[in-house]
Amino acid sequence: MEEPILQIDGLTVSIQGEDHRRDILDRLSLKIFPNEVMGLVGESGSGKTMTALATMGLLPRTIKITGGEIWYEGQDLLKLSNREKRAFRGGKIAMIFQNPRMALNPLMRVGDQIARAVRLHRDHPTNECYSIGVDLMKQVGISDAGSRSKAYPHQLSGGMAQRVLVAMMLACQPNLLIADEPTTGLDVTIQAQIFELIKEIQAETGVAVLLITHDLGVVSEVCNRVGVMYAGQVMEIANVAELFQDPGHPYTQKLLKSILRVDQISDLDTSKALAPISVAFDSLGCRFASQCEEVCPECFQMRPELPDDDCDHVVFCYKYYEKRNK
Amino acid sequence: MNVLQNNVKVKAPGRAGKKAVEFDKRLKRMLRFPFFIFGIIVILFFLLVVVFGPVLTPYDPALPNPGYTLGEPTSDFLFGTDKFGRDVLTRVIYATRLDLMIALFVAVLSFSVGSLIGGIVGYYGGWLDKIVMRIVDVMFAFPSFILAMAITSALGDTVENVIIAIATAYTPYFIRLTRGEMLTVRTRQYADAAVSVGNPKWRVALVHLLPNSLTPSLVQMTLVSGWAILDAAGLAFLGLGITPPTAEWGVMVSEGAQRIITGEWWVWLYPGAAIVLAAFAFNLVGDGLRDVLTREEQ
Amino acid sequence: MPYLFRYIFRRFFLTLIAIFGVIVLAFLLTRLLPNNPAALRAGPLADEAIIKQYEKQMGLDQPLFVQFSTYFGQLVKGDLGESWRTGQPVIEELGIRIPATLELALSAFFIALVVGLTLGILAAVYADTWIDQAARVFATLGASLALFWLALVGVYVFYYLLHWAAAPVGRLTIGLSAPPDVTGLILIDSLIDGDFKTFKDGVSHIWLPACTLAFIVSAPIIKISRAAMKDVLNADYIRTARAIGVSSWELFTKDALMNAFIPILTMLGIVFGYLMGGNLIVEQVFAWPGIGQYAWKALITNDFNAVQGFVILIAFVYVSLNFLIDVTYALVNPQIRLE
Repeated sequence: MEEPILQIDGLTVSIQGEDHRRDILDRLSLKIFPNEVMGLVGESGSGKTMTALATMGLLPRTIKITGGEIWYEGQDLLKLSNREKRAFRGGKIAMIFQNPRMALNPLMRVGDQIARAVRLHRDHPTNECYSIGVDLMKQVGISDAGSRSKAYPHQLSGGMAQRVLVAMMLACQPNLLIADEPTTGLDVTIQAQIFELIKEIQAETGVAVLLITHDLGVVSEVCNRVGVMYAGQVMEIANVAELFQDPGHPYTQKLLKSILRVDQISDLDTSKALAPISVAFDSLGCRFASQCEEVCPECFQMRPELPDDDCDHVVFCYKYYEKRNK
Repeated sequence: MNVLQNNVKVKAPGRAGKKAVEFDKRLKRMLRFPFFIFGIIVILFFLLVVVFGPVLTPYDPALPNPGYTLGEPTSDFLFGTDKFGRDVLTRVIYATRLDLMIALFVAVLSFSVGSLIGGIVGYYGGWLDKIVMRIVDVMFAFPSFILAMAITSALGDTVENVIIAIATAYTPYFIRLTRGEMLTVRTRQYADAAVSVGNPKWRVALVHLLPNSLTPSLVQMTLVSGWAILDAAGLAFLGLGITPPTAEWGVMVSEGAQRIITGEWWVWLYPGAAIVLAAFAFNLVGDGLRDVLTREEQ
Repeated sequence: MPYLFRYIFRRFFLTLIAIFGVIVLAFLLTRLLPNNPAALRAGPLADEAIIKQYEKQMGLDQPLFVQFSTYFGQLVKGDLGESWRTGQPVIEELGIRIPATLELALSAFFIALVVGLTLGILAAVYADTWIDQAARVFATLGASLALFWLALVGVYVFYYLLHWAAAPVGRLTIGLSAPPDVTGLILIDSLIDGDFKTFKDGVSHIWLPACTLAFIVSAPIIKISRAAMKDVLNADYIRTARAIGVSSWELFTKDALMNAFIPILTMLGIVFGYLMGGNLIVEQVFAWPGIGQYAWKALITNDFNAVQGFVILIAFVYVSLNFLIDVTYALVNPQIRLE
């Protein structure tokens, strides 16, 4: 069994309210292996972005990590100093976000912005960084890269801007790329192109990708493995094919049922059958319990321990293990 | 027992316990704005002085008292006396009534006229809108104090003229604010719905849309009250608008200004402090209102 | 390219309209309001005949339209009329006094910028800490202080009690002569002349009024630079820069400051307006021989021409400054420059 490139163990992230603490992520555990595209799905508010931000050390000031560990290449990221964390960012783990045009500095030409990433992460003399940046732009499929590099972000289309960001991340030569809903707001055709690009980059450079999305169709086409989140907890982790064919967790099952056809591109945001996530939770139990049709009393108080064997299909549900052990 | 009940970890949520918790939460929320509370208390205090003023002091603000001119503060004359022997505290109290009244009138006047114009212009648009906005631009071309100063000097030195002058200087703010809000609000669905049911357009504008455009103006009104006090006092200090022997904070400061090099500090310090306190209170309340109102929108 | 020109031209056109409006407004203020300017000029002791004479002399017997054209025609030539008090051309009298006001205004503006921008930006970077709270209280306080009162407090404390400032009698100690006129700004001219004694004297006279003005003016600067910086710091591109590991300092200067600069710039015009209003009062308290003091004397003596001239000058400067700021904004913002 390969060693995971990133291992999150029991991560808890909280925000301090007026007189109580609200756990946005609850004892989250997942692994990402080299050379794979791992998907992370869930509805809005399920904590997917928070997981990514926590890994990058980019959590907003009011939100703090209150438990767990994040292991990357043998190091616990949470124990690093700020300066060490900064060395990680971009260099080992890179991240691209939604709304690509807003994610670029409006006053800097895009070529300069990519060149800056090159300067920070590669050992090249400063005067070469710009042309390396232009090469990277070509690599991500931007035609006419030379003159395009002189453009300002507002002059680019959404798809183009996202390619620029991918180029910027490539400049950093990371081992893990986190893509947080990279195609929100983009045309459907452009969306397809961006995902193609990600798959290409993954194949060419061997970078591992964590793809955060609410679109199950994308998951089925692009990802190797996928994790399902709800309300800050991981519900299930499995290979993509197995998840669609044999979902183990009641939440996953409900999710898949609420989509008209499993092989259609669908949007989790439109499924209405599931409760709002904004309610805070007090107990250490499963947060889906109150809507679960197969719930048992223990579910409200605690969640199952993971079995020790490194199996491919992980389900955080008592009922699932009951059924499997029969 | 449903663990998804509420955010607060309460030991025994009996009815009395729940009420205590809710009051506690609201109090905590208010206390996050201590300055805001302070501002409101100060304004209330001033209002009390306005209402009960004459009762609070045995002296006559206008009567000279040649026996004790420029006297230092004593237990008889808590703020000392000015160059005519008049009790400074008494004059400050009477000046409170005048200055707050000016503030109130200016705020209400500029708010009503400005919001009405802004609402109309925002709703109907067209060439009326363009003309009015150019006029507003011209008015904004003058710093407001200078505009008020010019109008006061043209109209003459009375309290009414000061109010008109300052209100005129601040009306453009309300025109712009209300017009802006009206532009956003008039595209909302309930306006169309009201018109389609048969309400005449002007009634829709007046009854439905205008009230909804007024929120930022309310904040502005508080701020304008504070500015009006500063402007009125500033004009009086320069000798415009309100003149001696009227008891007004600015007038008193200007009378006391001559005393600066001779050391009788109480003549100008106390009235000036009153100005600062009043303006500070209005600013705090205005800022607090803005915070509270924008937070609600979020 | 063409968009940029259209943008600037449109702004210029609006500026012209504003200036025209200012002229009309100033005209209306004097002609259409209750007081008869001729009566005011003639004085309280004049009789009907003398008032009529003045009316004729001032052209008040002409129809309004004719009056306005004459008035406008004079203005275009730069003629602001003659002061009723002194008989001298208003524009000359203003011209002599401008350097004094300019020196005071610029000093105050500079101090206010340094203090205000620093506090505002720090408040945004350290949002929700005591620094933030302190900056906001400072800003509210500055906005609440009556300038004239603060000036008096300043004179009382720093001159009367502590003797740290010079007597409020103008730009230099009485008896000391000004350095040879190069810019009209005493501080600069004395340095050019190598005259340190005069320089020190000038500083001792200017620091208190400049700081007083600066205190008040820094309030809106703090508020707006804080808001602008806060918005910028919450922007997505800051997150991207952090995500690629840009150092805090580079992030601050290259990404945050540069983007906050634009909204801050547009605010500076308004701030200058406060400054001009405040100059009037400060010049009065400190006996500063600038246009503010001139305007005040004109107000007291009902010297309408002079007041009118002053008001038009101020409005003209204000409007032109805002136009310049608009142009700078257009040049600096690539979204407009390169449309």
